[in-house]
Amino acid sequence: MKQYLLAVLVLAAFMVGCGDDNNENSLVSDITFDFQFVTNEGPMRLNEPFELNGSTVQFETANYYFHGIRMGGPGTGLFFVDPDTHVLAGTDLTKTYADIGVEPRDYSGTRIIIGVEEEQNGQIETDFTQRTSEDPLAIKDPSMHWNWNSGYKFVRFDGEVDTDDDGIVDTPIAYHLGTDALRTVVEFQHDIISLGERGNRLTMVFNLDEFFSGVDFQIQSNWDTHTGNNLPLAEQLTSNLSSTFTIVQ
Amino acid sequence: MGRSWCVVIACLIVLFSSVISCHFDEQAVSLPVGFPPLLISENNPYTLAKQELGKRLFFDKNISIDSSVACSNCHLADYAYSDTLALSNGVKGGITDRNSPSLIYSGFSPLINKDGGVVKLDIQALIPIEDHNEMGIHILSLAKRLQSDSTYNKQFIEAFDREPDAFTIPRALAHHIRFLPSPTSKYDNFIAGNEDALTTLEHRGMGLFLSDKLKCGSCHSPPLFTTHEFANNGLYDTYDDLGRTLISADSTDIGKFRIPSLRNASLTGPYMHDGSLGTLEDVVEHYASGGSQHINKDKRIGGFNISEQEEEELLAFLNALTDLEPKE
Repeated sequence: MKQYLLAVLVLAAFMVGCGDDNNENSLVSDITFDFQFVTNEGPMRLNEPFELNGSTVQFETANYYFHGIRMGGPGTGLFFVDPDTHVLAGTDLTKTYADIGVEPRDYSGTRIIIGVEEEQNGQIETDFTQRTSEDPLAIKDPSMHWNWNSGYKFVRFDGEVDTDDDGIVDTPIAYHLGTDALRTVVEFQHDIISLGERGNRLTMVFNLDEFFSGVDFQIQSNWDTHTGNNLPLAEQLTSNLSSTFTIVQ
Repeated sequence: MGRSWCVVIACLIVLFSSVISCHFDEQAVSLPVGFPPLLISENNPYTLAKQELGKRLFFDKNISIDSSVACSNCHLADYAYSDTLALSNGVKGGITDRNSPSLIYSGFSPLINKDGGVVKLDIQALIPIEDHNEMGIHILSLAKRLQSDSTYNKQFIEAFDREPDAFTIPRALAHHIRFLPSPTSKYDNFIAGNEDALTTLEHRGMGLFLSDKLKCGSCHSPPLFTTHEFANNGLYDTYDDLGRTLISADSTDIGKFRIPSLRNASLTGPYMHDGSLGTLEDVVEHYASGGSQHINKDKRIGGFNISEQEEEELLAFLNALTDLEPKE
């Protein structure tokens, strides 16, 4: 009987040991991101008017580039989900990362870099015309590149605003942020996300109330920035990026 | 013995091929001694097929959204590939933001456009193609349009071994533009050793142009008659068009534009980034006055006194910079 008990204990110890080994080796294999744009009132839909900062606005285009995504959790440092890949985020786009190499556990903080790395933004060695259509940095329609500015539009919003209170959104507005100087690291805390080994689906949320915080759409100087032509507005919007993002599961 | 002959013939074929290749380069553009080399991208070396395709595209109105505007609308061969308007007309009543520049010597420029916002000639054509005030068509839409034309498809395959797309369209156009230079002016003949090429008036004008008194040559230095720098020439006290600042986002660049080549200057008026000065006489008058007091104004522009005789000499020299055998 003692021999049986001993055998069971040895087997149990062995199984526990195997389990520990499995835990050490198991890593998150994939995360898929959806992208959503919201106001404090709810989701924003392209080509539909909504209230923002006391004005009625509508956007046809809402996109941004990010790269260098890292995630961290309580008691851990930040892990790279992917150090290199540039991602074009938009309402109808998704991004799946594979072979991520982080532990399946809880995460509560994320860091991304909004923009395109300086080397690739310069377009001297490899310009956007040389890239295949699947490449996020290839020519897009609507354009995410500044061919006159030898770089990418890191953030692009195009739309209209109602400026005469007639209920019609008919004054064009455009917010195109770019240039190496405005490439921005954004670090934010969010609700706990529990990453499993596979099949993780997250939504990166872009809050327009935060991004356009302090922008009065009734003032003409706030109707557009192509960065260089209206640098104060571009800098204000870039500064607002720090409170613009969250991630939900 | 038979094998030796084969080797000799093979060598001759190789030699002949290289001669043919050089010949094509020489056909593309012939530059005088002392000229800097053309800036040619590694992925867009010269071929006759590309040049012919580029020329066809350049004169084709079908590359604009409503098939009403070709490159050649604003870049006319008779005016050194510029036009005679202050600002040019694009599709659907659009007006360009800046004066149409002469294209002939742009293949030497390290940065393209008046604000230097384009890093190489090979992608410059994307700007007028996509600009709503010029041709107003997205490059991907234009590619589809050209792909549906079997004659274009054939030419693109022959030139680039691929269909019309965002890579090949601007590079074909760049090919046509890059090989336009034809430095055959009276000045070039003079520099080549023909001492009688310049009249006395023109020769005196050259002396004035390069003198410490006028300092024209410090910004417009031979042989291209530009230093390729960006400079604020004191045209305005405040600038609606911020110029280089649009690219650099640096306020010290406000009102700075790329110094243009003065080759063919007598054909390229009106002048300045916005075409606001109609004649070369107006330009001389501007620089003689010293221009505005803008904080970014170039230190080389301080004004000067110039007599009527001297102005006549200076203008005669500028006229002597016109290519006598321009390419079409």
